[in-house]
Amino acid sequence: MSQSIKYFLKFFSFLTVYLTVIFFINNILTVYFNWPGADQFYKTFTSTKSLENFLSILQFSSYLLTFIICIYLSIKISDKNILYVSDRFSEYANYIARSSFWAILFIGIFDVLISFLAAEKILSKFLTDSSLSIFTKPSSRALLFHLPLAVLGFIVGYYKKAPSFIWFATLVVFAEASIVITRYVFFYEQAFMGDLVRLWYSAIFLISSAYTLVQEGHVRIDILYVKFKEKTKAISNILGSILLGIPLCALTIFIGLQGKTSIINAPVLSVEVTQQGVSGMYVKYLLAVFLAIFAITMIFQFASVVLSNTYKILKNKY
Amino acid sequence: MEIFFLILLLVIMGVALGSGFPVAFALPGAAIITITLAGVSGWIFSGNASAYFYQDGPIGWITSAITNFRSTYWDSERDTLIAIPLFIYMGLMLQKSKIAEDLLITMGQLFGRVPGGLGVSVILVGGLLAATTGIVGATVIAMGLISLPAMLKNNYKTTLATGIITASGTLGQIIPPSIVLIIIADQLSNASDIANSLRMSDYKLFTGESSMPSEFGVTSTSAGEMFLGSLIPGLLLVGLYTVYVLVYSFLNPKSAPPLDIKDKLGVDFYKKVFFSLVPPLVLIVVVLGSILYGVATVNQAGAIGAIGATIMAGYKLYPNQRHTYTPALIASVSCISIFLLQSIFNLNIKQNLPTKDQIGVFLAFIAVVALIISIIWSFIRSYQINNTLHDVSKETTITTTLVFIILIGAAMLTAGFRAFGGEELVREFLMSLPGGFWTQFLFVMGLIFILGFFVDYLEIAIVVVPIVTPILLLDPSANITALWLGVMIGLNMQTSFLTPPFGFSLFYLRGVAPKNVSTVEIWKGATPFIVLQLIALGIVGFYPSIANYLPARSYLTSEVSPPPTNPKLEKCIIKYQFSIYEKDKDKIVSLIKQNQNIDRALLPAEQKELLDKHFTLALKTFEFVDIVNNNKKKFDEFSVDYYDLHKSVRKLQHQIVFEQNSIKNLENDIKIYQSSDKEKVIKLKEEIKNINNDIESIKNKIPKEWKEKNDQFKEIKKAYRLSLKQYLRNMEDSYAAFASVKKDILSAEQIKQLIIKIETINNNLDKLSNTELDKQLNSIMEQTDKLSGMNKVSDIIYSSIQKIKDNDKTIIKKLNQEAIGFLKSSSEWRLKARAILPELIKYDGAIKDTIGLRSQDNLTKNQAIYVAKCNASHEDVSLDF
Repeated sequence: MSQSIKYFLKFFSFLTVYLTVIFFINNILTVYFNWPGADQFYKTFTSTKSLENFLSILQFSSYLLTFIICIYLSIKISDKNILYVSDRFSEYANYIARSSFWAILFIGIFDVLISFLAAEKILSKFLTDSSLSIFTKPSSRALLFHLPLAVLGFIVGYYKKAPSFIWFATLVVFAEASIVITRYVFFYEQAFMGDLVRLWYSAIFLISSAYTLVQEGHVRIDILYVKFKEKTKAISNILGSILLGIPLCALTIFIGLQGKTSIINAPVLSVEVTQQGVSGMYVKYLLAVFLAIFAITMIFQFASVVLSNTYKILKNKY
Repeated sequence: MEIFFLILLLVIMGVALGSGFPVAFALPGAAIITITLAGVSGWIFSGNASAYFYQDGPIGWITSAITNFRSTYWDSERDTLIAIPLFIYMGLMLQKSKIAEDLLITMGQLFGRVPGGLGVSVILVGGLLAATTGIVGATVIAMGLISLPAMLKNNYKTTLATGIITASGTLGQIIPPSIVLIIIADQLSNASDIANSLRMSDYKLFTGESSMPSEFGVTSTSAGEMFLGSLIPGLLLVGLYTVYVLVYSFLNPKSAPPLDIKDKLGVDFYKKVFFSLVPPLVLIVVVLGSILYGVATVNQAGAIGAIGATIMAGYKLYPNQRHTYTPALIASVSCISIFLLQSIFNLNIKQNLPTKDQIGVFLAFIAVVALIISIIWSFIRSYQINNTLHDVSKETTITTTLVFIILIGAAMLTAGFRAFGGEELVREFLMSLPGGFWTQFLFVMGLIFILGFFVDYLEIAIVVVPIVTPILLLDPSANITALWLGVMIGLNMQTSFLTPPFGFSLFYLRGVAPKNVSTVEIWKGATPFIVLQLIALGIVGFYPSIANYLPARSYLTSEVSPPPTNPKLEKCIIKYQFSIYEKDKDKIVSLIKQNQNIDRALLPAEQKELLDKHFTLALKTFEFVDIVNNNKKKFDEFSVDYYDLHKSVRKLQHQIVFEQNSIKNLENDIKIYQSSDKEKVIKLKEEIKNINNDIESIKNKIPKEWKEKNDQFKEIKKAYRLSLKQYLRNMEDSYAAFASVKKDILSAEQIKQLIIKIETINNNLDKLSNTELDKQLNSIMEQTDKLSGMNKVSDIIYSSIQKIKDNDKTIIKKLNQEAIGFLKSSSEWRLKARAILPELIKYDGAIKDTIGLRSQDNLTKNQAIYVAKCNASHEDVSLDF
């Protein structure tokens, strides 16, 4: 492997990971905190709004800085440490996935309880109209309850290292079985029960996808692949990740998080729900977030795959 | 240029798949890259990013790809996919609890005493496991480890033994519940929507009418229907395998000798058979039965299966201890007691229940708590012992993820394929095949069979099915159901597990078979079973009812069955009636004539007239029947010669439409190049001219007599249709008249009750509070609204209610009296007429199969079975297009 290719692969992996992080942060600032956005940078030459100019320059330079840092890192990280970095990236993906599990578990249980109390009009017996609206308004339910629970999930995920997200499958069994029991014994079925199943079910494959890649669970057509030498396998994985996997996830993030009307931002911004105020859960917007979690964890994992396979090739040579 | 990028897309995809990159990312990655490349090169070379697309531009297609991605889990129409993780969970849980091992050993001992018996027992166990775990790999491995050595030790011929195992292992693909069937159903319901809208536009184009009657639509399908539809074909396969093994061992006794078992079949042995056979059977009956009877959705059945499997695992994992069977016992007892409580009490907690039912709810609640305790107990056991729960959950997660990410990836690929006009191209290619539907069908089936040698079922089901099936479903001359097509594809793909070199089943057996069994022997062994599968494919292909009948029957006899007036049932119901007319015309006529003499002295003039109307119209039915038969004969005779002409002209007209569409595309291109490339524009214009010439030549191919014949045909068809309509209307008018009289007489009792109620209100008028009075009068008004000829009473009660707020009780009393008077006068004849009610009811029952049929709420069981049989075969509707 020539030196330039080695540096390119290192640079590319760092860039995809850190660019994704920076893009995500900038997206939050732009969409939810109304910052001007890095793409408004060209206006700073003509505009006179000083605060907006400053923020836009800040956002723009965050990208420049990322580039510089990535160049620096790709030179500085020695070949021996490549595997370590690859593991770090994989661990980032795992951390996001397992913390998402806790977050979605907490939010699911909390929200299904609130939805039950609201649907059975128990809440309205104890609360005045104004305090009731904290629970029945989607935006306040998301901000006051879901967000703290999500933060809690990410704290739990930091301490609990096991890949917790495998338990979604069992949770779906429980959620669907509870529908069966209440429906066929007591003729009781409400929309929130189906919503809970849908929430946990879509989480199974969107959040565990990166883990499945690590476990070699994703099907390969291995007619030729099994006959490849280790080095050819590594090259196939590197090229596949760079040309197919990463562009796919990058475009998903880029198009999905492109302004306020995009596929991911729009439902989150308006806190989309299936049926407001009737008997559904207020979690449909989270299904859009899963798409972002999928793309981000996959991009981290693909970057990790590129580095670990680069290491394999280098190791064979030494 | 679209073609170039389409080929590029396929090449990138081929290279990516061939190099072994995960399928789930190779498919969408190829689409995204090609779309981007096409956009960029279009922008560079012709200044327009959309230039190289069939329609729309790159951003639109990438957004649509991501939207396709999201729709897999975002839209509630795709909810049946939720069943996939549930059934995987159930299968894995059963696999870990080693039911396969138990079944193989005991069934082998039971059947092994006859020649070929051991082989048959393996096939039967394969069928049982297919209906429970459905995991091909696990089944083949278990059989390879247990049954293969047993068979070889008993001097079974090696190829026969391996063939039996590899083939029986694949039954899980076609015997429900099966993951593949859920996926095919999901893809086909989408494909039939597409096919249906194409049919609609054809209908509009050819007949000039704006909307297509729903009976000409494409019949869609669902996962539940697919399960039912594939049940008989699956059993057919089991039967074929069994017969083959028995015949083979009869002809070559040495190749499959009986087992030499010394021990006698004692009580202990039968106990063992009972305990290894009954629990999985119960699970199968509960899971499939709840779908068959329309009680549970497929998802709910999946949850029942997953929980049931865990309870079974609860005692299998924890053998020979004090409380081994306790959780399972508690679960069964509480399920049975819930079932009993259901039949005694009303447990609907949404209603205001009387005390008696509240006790029932309380008891049911205790039973549910017990059930939940037993479930949790079983889950705890499976969590603690061998880490089973963790492993099941983890493997379910991984398997589900691999299935769904491919599903999502293929949905994105479809966007790329359509962006470059691939869908149109495949459609045109299939349409251009000579010989119509059956060549297209055989081509597609052949393609799937060949692909099965190289790629596995998931890719075929997800990538190929959505592209090729709309064309097959569209064709009105075959008018196949999506269900039958799905079962055929399922059966076909099953062979991909058995075909060397990459058949999964062969691989798994190779992994566990002893060294002295050669790979070629395994391949050879599978060959006769591949032939058997192709025979089954032929049988189901030739008799579509095998697939269609069971779902149709279960639907028509279920609680949600459609009313007999549903247009989709019309043809078959008329056929049913006509078959009865043909057989029993005289009987029916004499029945009507007999009842014409029913004593009508007791009825008022209006009702007398109605009954008269009923009988005259009823007798007239047969005049209409004759007209219909006559017209049908004319129609059929004319169609014999006309049919081929009709079809060939429609084909030519299709070609014309296609050419016209390509002119439209070229005109769009001209607009793009207008300013940049004058030469190209001239070329394009030349091309349009050529196509116009083609169109002219196609038009000339349409035979001269077409117009005349077509007009004639339209006349005949119209007359036939009209006579059918008249027949139906006459029958409905006739029955409506009868039904109204019957209903009036039946209401006598109700009116009596109403009178008593209003009288009690009047008697207690001073005691009743205003709200209470309001409530009672309203409930009376609700009842009078439902009775015929009681509008006046409703009006009076309404004005009485209006007076409540004035607190004027005397007026209320007066109004109520008035209502009572009216009720009494109108109930007088009804009460008397009850004398003839038994006769009327008897008569009503007698005409249920003829004149009264379409006015029933639901079909009777016999009718439903006839209609299901009739609807199960495919009928050519091409003359309606």
